Amino acid sequence: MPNTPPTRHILGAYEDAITRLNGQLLRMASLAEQNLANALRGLLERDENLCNRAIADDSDTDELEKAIDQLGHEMIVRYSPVGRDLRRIISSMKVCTALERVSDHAVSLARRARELNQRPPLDEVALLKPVYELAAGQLKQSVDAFLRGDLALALHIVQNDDPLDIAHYELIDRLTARIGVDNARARDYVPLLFCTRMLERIGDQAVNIAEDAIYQLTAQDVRHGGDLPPAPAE
Amino acid sequence: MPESRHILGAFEGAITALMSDVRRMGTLALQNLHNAAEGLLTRDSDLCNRAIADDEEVDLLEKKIDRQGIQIIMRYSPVARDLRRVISSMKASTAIERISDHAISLAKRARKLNERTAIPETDGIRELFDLAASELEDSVAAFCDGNLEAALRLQTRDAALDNAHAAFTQRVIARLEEDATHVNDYVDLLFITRFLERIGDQSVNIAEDAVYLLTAMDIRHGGELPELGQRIA
Repeated sequence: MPNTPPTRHILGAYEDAITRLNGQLLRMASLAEQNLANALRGLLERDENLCNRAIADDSDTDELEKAIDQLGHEMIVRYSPVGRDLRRIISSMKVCTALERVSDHAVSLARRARELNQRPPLDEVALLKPVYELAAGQLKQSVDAFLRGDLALALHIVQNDDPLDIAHYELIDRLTARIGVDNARARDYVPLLFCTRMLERIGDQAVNIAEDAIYQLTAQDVRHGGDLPPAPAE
Repeated sequence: MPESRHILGAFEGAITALMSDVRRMGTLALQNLHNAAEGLLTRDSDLCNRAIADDEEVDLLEKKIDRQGIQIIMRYSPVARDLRRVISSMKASTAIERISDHAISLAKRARKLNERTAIPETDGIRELFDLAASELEDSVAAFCDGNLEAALRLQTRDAALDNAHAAFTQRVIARLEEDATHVNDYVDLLFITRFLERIGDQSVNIAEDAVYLLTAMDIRHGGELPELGQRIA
């Protein structure tokens, strides 16, 4: 609730605006997740159409990013929010930047996938699936934590991003070793290296979103190794 | 909106401090990038380590800018251009922090390259580094000085870095296909060129934030560009 709503009427309008903001964020998150899923399936199933769809649909997330920023600005001007209300708006604008990056990474992945699909198949492509699952899972959880205001879940994400980091490095090492053995096919393997990197970056953005959730809920800025707030009591 | 002359002065003071933190953050990120790249090009891992260690200051400034920005909004309820100055500073600081992160990633790969035999392809990074560093420097200056013309030039300028990145990547892949003895080096170089390309992208974002601050036009993702000289309250 806003800390200083002048009238009940404005309070209602403010709540409407927050609902709209959350709705747009949810839509943007679903689109980014969908683009990522399409890009990855396009890669695993060698499906050009799915890659193209991920690339084409990115413009929807771009438009939502602009819409969310504009709505955030308008809300700050109209309601002069303070405290958690202000944090919520600013954090939403930050989350939308992170989601736009996620969708951008999905586009990069889709472009690399199109290159790969034009060349002979590689067995190692299948190794991206578990890395994708970790990244996509982290993304979905972080968005849930932000929109539901789930502090315990947000803390969990911030404290548990190692599995994706490890999986990403292992795969990079493995692909690099593979190139060492079969360097004539370097042109096929290099795009896979970058696909792996994209997934790791998506996981990083998920952590950013979880950090935004913690900030929104507790006013504590936990980025770059800041102190974590205590987990909520069960 | 600030009402009395006194509050106006305090608001301007707070905004000036915020902008000077953005400028300082840009200077530090540029220095980290410079140390990381020189550490690679002169095979000086001490410089790489300095870049990595100095990133903390950039991180702290990012947090400070966000904290100050929120306080300014709460204290002065700025509108129009005043609000855009605050929000855009917070956005620009996110981009600068990412740039410094990329410089750190570059420094870490450079340390690995420095431990192995030198390869001639590394010198090719110089051109990319020069382009990325000048984009960073000019975008932060355009943002802090309110230079619309310079900000609008960034998108076009970034194309040169994109082309150089694509050409360098092709060259390294061709080397990989011929020579399996330096696979790790070539892969490190591929990532390094990618980091520099991303630094160019983030510099464009900073320039876009500058355009938004000055004109209230959101030119991201191929939005319509303002006329030169177009500024609004």
